[in-house]
Amino acid sequence: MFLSSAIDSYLRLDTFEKVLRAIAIVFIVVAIVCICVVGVIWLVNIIKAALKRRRENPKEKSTKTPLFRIVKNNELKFWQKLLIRIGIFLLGFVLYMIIISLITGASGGQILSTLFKGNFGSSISIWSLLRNTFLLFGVAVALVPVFKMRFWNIGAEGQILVGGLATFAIMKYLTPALHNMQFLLFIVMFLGGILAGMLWGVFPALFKAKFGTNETLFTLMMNYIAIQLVRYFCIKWEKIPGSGEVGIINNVFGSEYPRVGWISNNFLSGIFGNGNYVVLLLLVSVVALAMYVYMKYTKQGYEIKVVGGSVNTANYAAIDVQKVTIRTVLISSAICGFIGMLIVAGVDHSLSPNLAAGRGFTAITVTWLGNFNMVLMLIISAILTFFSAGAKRLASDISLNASMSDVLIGIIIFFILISEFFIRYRVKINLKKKEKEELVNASN
Amino acid sequence: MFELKNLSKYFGSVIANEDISLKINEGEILALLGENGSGKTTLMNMLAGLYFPDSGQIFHKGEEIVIKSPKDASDHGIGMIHQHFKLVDLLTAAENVILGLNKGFLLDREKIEQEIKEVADMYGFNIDPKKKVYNMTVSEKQTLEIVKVLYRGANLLILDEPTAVLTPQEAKQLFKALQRLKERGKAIVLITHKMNEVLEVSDNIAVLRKGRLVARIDTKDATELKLAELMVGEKVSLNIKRSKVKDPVLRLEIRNLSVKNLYGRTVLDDVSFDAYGGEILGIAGISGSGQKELLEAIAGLEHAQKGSEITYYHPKHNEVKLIGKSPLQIKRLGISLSFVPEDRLGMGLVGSMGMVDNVLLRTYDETPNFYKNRKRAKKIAKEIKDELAVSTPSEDTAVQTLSGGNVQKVLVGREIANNPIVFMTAYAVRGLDINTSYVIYDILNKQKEAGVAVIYVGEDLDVLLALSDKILVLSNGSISKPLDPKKVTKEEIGLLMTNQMVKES
Amino acid sequence: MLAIEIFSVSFFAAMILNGITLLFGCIGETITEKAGHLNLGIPGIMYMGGIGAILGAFIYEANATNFNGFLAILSAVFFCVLLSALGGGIYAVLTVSLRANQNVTGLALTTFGMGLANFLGGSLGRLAQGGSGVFVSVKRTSDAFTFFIPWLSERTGLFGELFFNSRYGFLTYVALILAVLVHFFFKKTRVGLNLKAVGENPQASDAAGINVTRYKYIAIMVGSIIAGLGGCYFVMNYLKGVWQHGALGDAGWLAVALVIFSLWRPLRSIWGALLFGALTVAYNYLHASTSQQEILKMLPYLVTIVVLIVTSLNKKREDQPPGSLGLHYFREER
Repeated sequence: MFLSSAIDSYLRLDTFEKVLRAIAIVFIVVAIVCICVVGVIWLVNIIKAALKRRRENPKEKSTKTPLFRIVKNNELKFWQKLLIRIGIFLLGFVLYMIIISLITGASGGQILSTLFKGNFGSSISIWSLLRNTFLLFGVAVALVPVFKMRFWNIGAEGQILVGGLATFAIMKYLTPALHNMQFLLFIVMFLGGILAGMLWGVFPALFKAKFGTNETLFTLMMNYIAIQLVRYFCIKWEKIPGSGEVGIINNVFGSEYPRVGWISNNFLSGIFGNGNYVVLLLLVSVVALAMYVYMKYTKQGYEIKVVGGSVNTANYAAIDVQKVTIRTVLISSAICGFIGMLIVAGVDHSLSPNLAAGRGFTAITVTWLGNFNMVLMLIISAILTFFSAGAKRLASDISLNASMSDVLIGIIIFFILISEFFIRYRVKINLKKKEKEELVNASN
Repeated sequence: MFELKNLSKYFGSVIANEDISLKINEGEILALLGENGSGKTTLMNMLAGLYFPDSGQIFHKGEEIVIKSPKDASDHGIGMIHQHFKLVDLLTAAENVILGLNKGFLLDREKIEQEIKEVADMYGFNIDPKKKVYNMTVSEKQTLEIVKVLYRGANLLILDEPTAVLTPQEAKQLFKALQRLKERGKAIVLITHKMNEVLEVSDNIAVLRKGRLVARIDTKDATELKLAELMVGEKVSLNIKRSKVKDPVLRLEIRNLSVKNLYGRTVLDDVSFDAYGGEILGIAGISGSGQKELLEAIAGLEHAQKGSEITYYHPKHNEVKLIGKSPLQIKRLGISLSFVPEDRLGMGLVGSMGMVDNVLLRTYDETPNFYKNRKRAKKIAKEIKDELAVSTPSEDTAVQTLSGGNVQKVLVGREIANNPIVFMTAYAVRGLDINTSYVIYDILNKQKEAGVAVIYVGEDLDVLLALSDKILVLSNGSISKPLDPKKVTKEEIGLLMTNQMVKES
Repeated sequence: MLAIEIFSVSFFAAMILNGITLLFGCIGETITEKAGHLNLGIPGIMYMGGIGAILGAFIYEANATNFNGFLAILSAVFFCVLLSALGGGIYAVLTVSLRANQNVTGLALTTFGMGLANFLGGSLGRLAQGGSGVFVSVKRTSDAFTFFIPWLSERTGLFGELFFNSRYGFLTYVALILAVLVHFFFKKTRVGLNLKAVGENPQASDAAGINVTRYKYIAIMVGSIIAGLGGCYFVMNYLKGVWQHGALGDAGWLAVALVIFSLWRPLRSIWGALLFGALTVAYNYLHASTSQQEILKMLPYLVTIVVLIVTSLNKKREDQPPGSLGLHYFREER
């Protein structure tokens, strides 16, 4: 029943979405296969070990030996790591589905199809998925250099906010003057965005560099100051007294300068359709590529790596740690500010305290779990965005409270963290004292 | 009292200990002798509960016991004093002693301090229970560690390279204390690689080589040469070559160098000396007398007080005053100073990076543009690997996974690839096996022959006397006049190290 | 323009109510940080504790035939502790046994905890209202929390009004007593000394025979439970048992800041908490326009930053963060 209606609705989609859906399904199938493979290997190992033990040693009086020992593991190959990651992620996903199923009574199939509809159900939702993925990815890219340097920039959220704030202010006040020279307007908006972001990053950077002030807390606090600042301006500039809402700036209807300062959402609309975000995707991709090259091939990228490895060594190697710290944080916060600009000028066209939508925090997880690998970070961004968007649909279609998505995203992250553990360490199980331990680990 | 049977321990594919059987008796001092990497510390760590044996058994008074944690070890009366002290800086001596002992809920500080003083006095040790550890000297900390295990009822004391951080006089005091403990029926295991200590103080010797027990002999039957053979497995000449000095050129002039540390304490006091190219200048002294600060001040890593002067004489340009310049400025001036620091993975190298990336530390800035050039670094890394026989899976494997000897080879190799005019090393052969040490001595000699001013800070007086052309002794921040290694004796140096004769000589 | 009403009793009450919430969170996180773990999940845990209290009260009120204040409180606290322990347990397992990065885990936990609380709150609200209610209210239990000391406040005039205001509820005094107890715990007990050592130098503590893992687990769990009580306190005493989406606001983050502000000393946390509480509500009592209020709400964060800067300039050994804060401990590291 479900299958035929699923096929039916599938055939009704247009080609672009068909392809996306097909890819998604293939991906899931492959992943399930991986889990099975992993599970089988693991089971086989346990059995082999048990048989070997029984064969080689008679029963011995065993004294109290520790059952589990955890030992560092340096010897996993790439595909093994991938298997573990995919396998455990899917375990988390299955748990996710079970929980939702229990709460709402929906079947697994319903949940899956709702998730898909929420993300791939229409061209709007697909573009939404792509756009949000890349925005999140963009912030994650911004965090790469600072995290590599072990400067914990938790202030990305605030940096995005002030970037957006500056952009909005520029749009608001300079539109009359520059509406005929949009190119110039864009340049000013761009500069405003990144300068604002840099302003938010420079203080924690300075104090960390000069006095060793804890940056985790400093940047964290700056977030809330940024939120308050934005709230202030939202009230100051509200369109309807008491609403706190600023409204759409340079709106299509009812404004003197329609669409001025807006980043085009109809770029190559012939190929990509109206309401596309290709410009956004391109811009973020450019930034990502630039960051990749920067980190891998430039001297500054190397310096960042050294400072992150050992500050003492950096000093010893005549690297100016203070300069590198401040410079890197400025780059990171500038990119965050840029993302803020993209959000205001390219997506919302408005100002609200919620414009960053928690991306600053989520990106921390993305960058860290993605281990500074651009491709992995993009995938993780996509996964998290997928669930986030899917959750909204779940809320409307099967009445699952939207807050639940936060819970579930939390759970998925927990599972990913668990998989990190299995990648880095092995667990030795010690059932008899006299033999050499067998290594019970899914990858072996 | 204790017996180890067929104990083995593996770290991945590395054999740390294999099939070791050993008896430890009370009222005796057993010396555990071996080079670095022979497995002595690993073996004792298993007794101390820090490592768990992969196979084998441990017996205490005939009964088999299992030691899973330091607490188990302590329960069986085993106390270990490690090379790197396990003390909590922030706490006082008394607090450190009773840490982890949960006799009673409340802390009665007075009573505890009283008890500790009693235990210390009983064995002839002198400590101040109220003193915070971060204020203590190295020797005081070691005493504290010993009192700590005694307070907890240790009957077997294991000391890991205890004299590495002591003056000859303090070492003598320690040995006297060990004798006292022995007379009280305690069993003592002394882990060391210093043969003279072994012969002086122990009753029995167990020699380890490459993870296996190669001999167990009574001290009265042992000679230095015999022990050396057992340790390395082949006849080793104790001779270190000292090449002739030709045309020494003044390269570094240090005048009135004074350095204060973070807490305002003077660690270098008015130090003055000269370093000549074509000579090896040895600097002796107990760890912590200011050596680190001296070399770092020259390299621009340490801030010097007003009035200090360091003048560098470049072969081609004019002299340069180094004080007040950061390492970056020194580098920009084209001054070729190489520095092999004591803290290899913490300062000299980035452990998580491979050989090539570590070589890049010195060469990455050579190209004028934005991009780094890895080619030259790759070439140099390969040369280092080949010429110094560095054992590593690849030139990009993280250096922190390499053994101590190889790490040092990478570090030294990189520094000499820099073609320095002045080459400074701190404890270049600490923790290295004999063969690698000789490789290092060889390198130093070659540098000297090439006209480089070599400054060698070391702890082994025999090596210093054999290798250097001039010796300075650093003690409590003050430096002696240059001594002639061909004439001065070890005892004189030892006395200088304790500051008794510095100003007079 | 800006008139000041600081000495009205209602300001004092609001300050205490907000401040004590922070105090709970702070004491909990202090214990956790002293053990070497930076738990950025405290905001989530406080939310979980808060909703736990509501849940407990709701279940009791829905099922009790005769309302007994004492049992209502018991139920609320029980569920509060249960949920806080769950949160703490997740963090503990991940960061102690599975050696996950503490910051990432903490932030994920905050997302999880806030989501869970909002979700349960919304669901309960629907259940309660029988339809699409936005919030759930357990007023009777909330009153129970606050009814404890009425006669004292009536007898002692202004002093009584200030210090024994029945609005504060008994948990206020619990918090204060806890702060003092924790202070003595670290100063005067062996277990406290051990915990301090674990956070400073786990290697040394391990060598001394302390079970580092056990201490960390217990510190994190106890810390989480205490912090969760802060959520319970806020919801029952300040919000009078009415739960709304995002009820606790940024209290958790302020609590984390407070730990640093008080330099990991519980006694300092007391007056620090009151200060922060005062700053958090100041905007309501200074007659400012709605927009200016937003600027005022910035104050606690600004103050925290100032403290951060000042303490980092201060180099005294005793004021530094616990030595191993944020780092993993791994015994067999070669």
